[in-house]
Amino acid sequence: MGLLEQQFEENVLTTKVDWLINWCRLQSVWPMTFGLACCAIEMMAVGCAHHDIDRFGAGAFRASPRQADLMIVAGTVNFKMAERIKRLYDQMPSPKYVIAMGACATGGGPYYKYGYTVVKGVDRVVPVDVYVAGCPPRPEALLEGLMKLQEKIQQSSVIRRPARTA
Amino acid sequence: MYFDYLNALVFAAVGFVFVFANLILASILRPKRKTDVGLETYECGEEAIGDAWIQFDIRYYTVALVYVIFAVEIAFLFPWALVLKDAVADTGAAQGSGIGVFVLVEGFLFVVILFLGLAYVWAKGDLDWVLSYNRSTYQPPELRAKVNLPLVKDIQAAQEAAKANAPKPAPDTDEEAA
Repeated sequence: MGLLEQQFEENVLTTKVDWLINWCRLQSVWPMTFGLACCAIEMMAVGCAHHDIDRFGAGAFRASPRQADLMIVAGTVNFKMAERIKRLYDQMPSPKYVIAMGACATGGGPYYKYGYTVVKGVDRVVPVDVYVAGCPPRPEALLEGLMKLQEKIQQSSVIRRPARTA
Repeated sequence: MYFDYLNALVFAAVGFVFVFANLILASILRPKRKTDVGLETYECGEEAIGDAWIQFDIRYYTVALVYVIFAVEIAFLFPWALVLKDAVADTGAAQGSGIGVFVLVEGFLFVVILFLGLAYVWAKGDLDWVLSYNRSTYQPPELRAKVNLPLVKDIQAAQEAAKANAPKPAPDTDEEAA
């Protein structure tokens, strides 16, 4: 845990500080350069000029997990790759987020029944924040997934204690 | 007049403080969740095996040398080929220079000299990329096996003989095999 992480009661000051920190985080969600299958082609389209993921501050695809905040699992996750995905996820610094892009990463997709090499959803390996539906999803769908992730980041509590759930 | 340099001093001081203030602020705010796997060397998701300071085969330097020679040859021949037509036909940029045939002969001389180098390397056997199978020193593998290595049945026969001769078990059959 960090020095100030979730150490304070919720009041006006801590809420504002949290808002500021979250705003900084969600405006620079740097994804890791990481594509597994055909969904990665759509992810590249998102990075290009027409759809331009840079508008959301997430266009800096990093070549190392050390510099990345977001892992876009774009494609079919087989068992051989799942081990690597787990290690790469562990090597990313906190706070880190995962988008499962497409049917395969969400739940095995067309390989659900007979794909004996395919992990039935990347959420069996790493915790997933946002699932993007589609096979493959349109670039707009991935952009919406990123916006959903930004909403999620905006709601997270950094220095204040999280609200208790009943 | 020295007051003018105060700008630079303030600029440097602000830059210095800015870096460390941000580092300290980040160290206070950031979550610290360190795991053993997370602190591993990044190797594209693979487990890092062995040392980064590996031994590289020194014999590769001949390949590098030959590459450098021909890379430089290309770098010289492209501009040469660009002006060659004008120089020979005495037109364009080279008009009136009178170096047409000279340029042609010089270019081919350059190529021939470099090909002499290639022929030397070829004859010396450095173009055999696996140098242990150099043609001049090559020995068929089965011949070396016959010369150097004892056969399994010979080792077994020696073990049987040792067992038959000695009343107690042989102390160490590995030494005989070696």
